Amino acid sequence: MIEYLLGIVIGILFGIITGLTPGVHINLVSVMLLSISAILLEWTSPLMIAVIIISMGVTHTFLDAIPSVFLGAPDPDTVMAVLPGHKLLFEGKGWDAVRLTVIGSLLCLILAIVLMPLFALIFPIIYSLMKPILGWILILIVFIMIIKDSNKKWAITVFIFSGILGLIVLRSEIRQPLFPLLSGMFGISALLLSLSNSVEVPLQVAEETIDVNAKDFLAIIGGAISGSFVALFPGLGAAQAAALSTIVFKIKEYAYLILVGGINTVNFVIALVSVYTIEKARNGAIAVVMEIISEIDLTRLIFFAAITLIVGGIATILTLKIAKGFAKVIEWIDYKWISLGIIGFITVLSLILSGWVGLIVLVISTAVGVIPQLCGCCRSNAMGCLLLPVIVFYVL
Amino acid sequence: MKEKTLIITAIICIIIGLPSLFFASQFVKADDPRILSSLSGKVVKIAEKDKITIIDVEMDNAMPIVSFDKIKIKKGDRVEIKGEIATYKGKLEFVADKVERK
Repeated sequence: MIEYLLGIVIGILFGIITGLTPGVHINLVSVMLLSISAILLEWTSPLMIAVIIISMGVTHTFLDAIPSVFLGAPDPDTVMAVLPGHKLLFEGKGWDAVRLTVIGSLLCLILAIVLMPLFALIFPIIYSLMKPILGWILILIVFIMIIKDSNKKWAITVFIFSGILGLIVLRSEIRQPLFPLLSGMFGISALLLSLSNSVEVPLQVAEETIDVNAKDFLAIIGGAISGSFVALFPGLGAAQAAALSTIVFKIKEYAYLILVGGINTVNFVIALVSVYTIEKARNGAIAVVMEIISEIDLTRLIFFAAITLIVGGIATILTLKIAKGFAKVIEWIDYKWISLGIIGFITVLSLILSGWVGLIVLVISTAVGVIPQLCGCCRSNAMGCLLLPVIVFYVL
Repeated sequence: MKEKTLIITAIICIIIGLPSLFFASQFVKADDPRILSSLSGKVVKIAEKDKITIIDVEMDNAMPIVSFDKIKIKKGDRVEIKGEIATYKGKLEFVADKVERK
């Protein structure tokens, strides 16, 4: 028991680093742990390493909202939180934005754990029923997304441009393709527009109470369900679930941030149920866990559920405290320099992770990413970069 | 929603999670039947087939043989061992049913 608590602490520490550092994803750290697992196993058990990775993953899903909101530097799972989070930041409510994602993450986590037995029963049925028609369902949802947009011409243009870019990039030999693709599309594009508008970050207000109403809490149910179902299918992750959920549920910023936070955490945790039921690992970190422990039976599923509950509680408190610190620091620094620093950091990281081709992807994805904001169409259309490759995968 | 409410909820999660973890840890398997180890040695034979390649490796390090019976052998003896390969703490070992001096 003490060993597992130590594993939780180590995992949380790793999760803080990956969550707060743009560009450092848990998959990267998980693969590094796998590569040295033969050495680690001289001192500890395979299950302990799995505890570290899962603790890291859950912590990451809470903390990654902080760089998304305060720095405009999202990771692949929080891209959909950048714009509403940034909007609240410039209203002096950046800390509220992070708290909303934490509310979503914690409450959706609790709901997902409570619903785990139900998911374990229905996942195999849903997987076998939906898999043959999933591509067509996605096509229908995208069609509805474009039809509902107030600027249909630009919505189609953005979807097609981003989709073609996604198809090319994700089928290429580029290392870490998602980083330049999504950072340009949703990160740098937003930062460039902030710079061009010469925005200043106002004083961040940190009130004790955050204003959420009953309707906003419905987003918790939406987050738990959509985050869980995308954990069943390859090619679908938190970002796609968030994009699809915004089409289905027309919700405002507060509920939206709760939804995105919830989907992010639930998607990671319910991947354990996917392994237990259909023996498929649906995210990189869980795939590494399966390399180390090879199977998740019922006792291990309950064991990991307990781990995620403990880590979720600790990560909630940590995120609230760290976000408060960020909110204070960001007032002292000229946001122009923060934006330029982040753009520079993402550019250098793209070059390191993905090479000079990654830089080209970054530039093109940034160009595509500014179009929705300049032309007045919905930003979700840029998720074509992930949706179109998934549609092609399932349909063709 | 008050921040205090969120923190109290988080603390409740930790309080529920800890005894659940204790209970689950009594029943969970920590070791794994999966062999996850590394070997090093000199390749003495390579046989390439259609879809697989089989290599014979003279290993640098000796594999531990674990016997639960008393055996009368000394260093330098040649032995034949019957048993099965297993893992212990993630490392390969051979659990001997019978060890015979040749």
